[in-house]
Amino acid sequence: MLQVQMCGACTGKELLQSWLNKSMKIKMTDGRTLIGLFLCTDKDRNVILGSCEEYLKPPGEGGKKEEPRILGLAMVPGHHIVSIQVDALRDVKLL
Amino acid sequence: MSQESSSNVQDGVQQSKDCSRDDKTALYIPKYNWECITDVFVEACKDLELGELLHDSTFGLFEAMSAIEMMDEKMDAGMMCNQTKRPVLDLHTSVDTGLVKVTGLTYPELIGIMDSSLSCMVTWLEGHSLAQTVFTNLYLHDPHKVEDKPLRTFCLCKLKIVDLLRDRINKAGVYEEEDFQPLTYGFKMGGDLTDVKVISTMKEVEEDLNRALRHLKGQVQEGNAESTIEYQQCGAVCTRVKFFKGLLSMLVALSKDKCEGVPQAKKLISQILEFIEPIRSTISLGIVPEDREITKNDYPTIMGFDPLINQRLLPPTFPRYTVIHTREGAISYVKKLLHRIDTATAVLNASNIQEVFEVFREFSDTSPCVVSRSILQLMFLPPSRKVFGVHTLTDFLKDSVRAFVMPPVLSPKAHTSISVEVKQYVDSLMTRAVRPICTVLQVLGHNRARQRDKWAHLLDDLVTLQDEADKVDGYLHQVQMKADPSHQLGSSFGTWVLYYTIHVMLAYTLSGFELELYAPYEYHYVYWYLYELLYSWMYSTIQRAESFVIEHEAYIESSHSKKGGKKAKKKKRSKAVQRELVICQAQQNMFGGYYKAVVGLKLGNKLKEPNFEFDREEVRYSHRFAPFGNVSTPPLVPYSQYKEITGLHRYSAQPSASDMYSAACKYFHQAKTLFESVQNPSEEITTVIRIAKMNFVLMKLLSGGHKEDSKDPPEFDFSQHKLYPVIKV
Repeated sequence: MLQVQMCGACTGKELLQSWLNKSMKIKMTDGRTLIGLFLCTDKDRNVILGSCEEYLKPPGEGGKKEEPRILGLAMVPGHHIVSIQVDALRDVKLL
Repeated sequence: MSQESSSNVQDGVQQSKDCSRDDKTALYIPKYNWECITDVFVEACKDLELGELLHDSTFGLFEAMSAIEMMDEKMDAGMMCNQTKRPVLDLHTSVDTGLVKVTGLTYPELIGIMDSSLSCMVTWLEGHSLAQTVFTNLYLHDPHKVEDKPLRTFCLCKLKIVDLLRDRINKAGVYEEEDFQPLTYGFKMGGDLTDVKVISTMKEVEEDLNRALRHLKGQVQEGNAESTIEYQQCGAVCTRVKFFKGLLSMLVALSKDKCEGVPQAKKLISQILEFIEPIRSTISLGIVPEDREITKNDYPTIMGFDPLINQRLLPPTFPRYTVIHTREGAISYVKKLLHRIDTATAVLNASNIQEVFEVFREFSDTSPCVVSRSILQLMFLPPSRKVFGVHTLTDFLKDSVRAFVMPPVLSPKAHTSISVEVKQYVDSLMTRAVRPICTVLQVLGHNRARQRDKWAHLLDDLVTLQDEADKVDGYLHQVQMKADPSHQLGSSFGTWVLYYTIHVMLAYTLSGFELELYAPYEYHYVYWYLYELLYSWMYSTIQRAESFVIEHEAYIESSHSKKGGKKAKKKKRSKAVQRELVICQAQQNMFGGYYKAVVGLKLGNKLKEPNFEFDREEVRYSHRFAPFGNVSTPPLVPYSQYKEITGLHRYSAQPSASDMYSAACKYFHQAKTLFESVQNPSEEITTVIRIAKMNFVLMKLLSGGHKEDSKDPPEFDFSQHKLYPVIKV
């Protein structure tokens, strides 16, 4: 979580590269949520996610745990993205 | 942004904070720490150039190509417009809300459910996924929740049948993605009960229904009108119970490892066939779906079925729409399937590989379904890898070589006189032969469209085997020269392998006709290769093999004074060989006729030559016969040699179209005569005789000048036989 603050002087490209291969959560215009590994993007903000899962309701909310639909490799057109969240890993080692 | 402290480091067990443990699965599910970066991301992307992609070195465009595009209705099966508006409930919810009954089912309901299940199963067998066919039946998701005994038992029986079929098809391994979808999506297939238990419970249900039938019959005889209908319905359910019980029993019998269950399976097949018509005539007694909106992937169903229940399980490819068979169509399919399986059991009568090969070829010619192809493969070679579950492969191959070519070293009387080394060489050759020969039989188990490519690949393996066989023959010849120079050995093993090599080459070439690959302007070299090369090699190979057998028999009789008592067996074998020779020669003559005809049509300016900018006949020729490049016997005839051999300038007087037509006449006539001499001709031979006659007549007319000036292109009509067209001008 310190990344954004640290990279105040980073270029946009470097920032994007720092997020590559991290878990990303994207909300689409039709209300679906995708969670996958951020693999690729371009100027128009088209995003490719790997090992992508699709949730109909935002995961974590609502009582019942939803079974996601496994998509594999998926591309989300930039104009269908409402919001993007990235998994800010801490820089500590996990056992 | 959450300020989750990093004091967990002091715990020494980082995972207890970062991950949550799911007690049910004991999996460590990572807890994400989401941070919103939408605006930052948008800004950052502005730094990229138009068309520039940002990714790491391990990701490329090739990978990117296979990504599914979200929010594109053709590719995104989860999109709203591809989703249904109506609620899709699973079995438990449906039962709780009273939409689906699990007790007190009426006979029409049972009939409808059983018939719809059969339709789903047949649709699955034609290549669709289980999720969109069989498992649209909610009852099958959890049969133990069904309290109604007939329905519960039927469901378990159904699951067992599906599981057995899936097992057979998987084990045989002769399916492609267009034939069959093996994925089970984790559904349970009644594995907690044995097949025997399910069959015996079906018997109990049958007996219950029989009791009810007797009771109802009594009421009908008393004149109770309502009971008549109920009596018919009850009878219909009972017939179906017997049918499915029989189907399961048959599949269990067929799956026995030593093929000992096959006679019983045959009996069961004839029993089950008796139920087909009674079932067909009572389909109308079952409940039918109410009208409902039909969309791309949703159609009306009866209670207990939902086409969309498994949508989330499907792979994320473009949405697939499955059209379920009608109930009448399904029962007709099963009838044909049972007949095919029955035909397949004939393979057990084969005593050597050549006979198995013949059975497999004839079976494949009928373009059978994936189930019957798989069952045939497994009857020949069950998972135990013993032929018919009984013989070892090498022994069976030795028997086959003996029957085909009788090399003295394998002769039953030669056991004591051969050295250990010789035996080793021969055994090792037989072991090496197992894979290519079994692959020949396996290729015949695939669907017709896929065989051509496989034949081409198989030739490489056969070439290697041919080399080894020739080496063994050479060695045996040397050994024999030292022992007894007066009695020379022929190339027995080489001849046996050559027989299969040529068959594969023929199958490859002929498949081009079946798959409609050749254009009419290519026919001349294809027909030439068949008639001049492949069939003549085949004929001489069979003849040579037969001469070895006869020679050996004569040798044995001369050195041992007593006569062999197997006169009848010898006669039967030589009759079979004669038949094979006659048919081979007849086929050669047919293609000879076609070759001359095509050359004549070219000379008569009726067959057009292609005139494309980048076309070269030599390239086409080489491409068509490329797989023959590695084969040393018979060697590939290069294009230049083909042109030389077939060049019309070789004749002293340039032949005319009319001369060619007359030559074609002779060939067709000879073919017809040869085919007519075959005892007990099959329906196919009768058809080919008719085709030969028609072509003979046409060639006669053409040679007499009929339609000489017509420039109309000839028509090659394959409607009567996929390999032998009727030529029309």
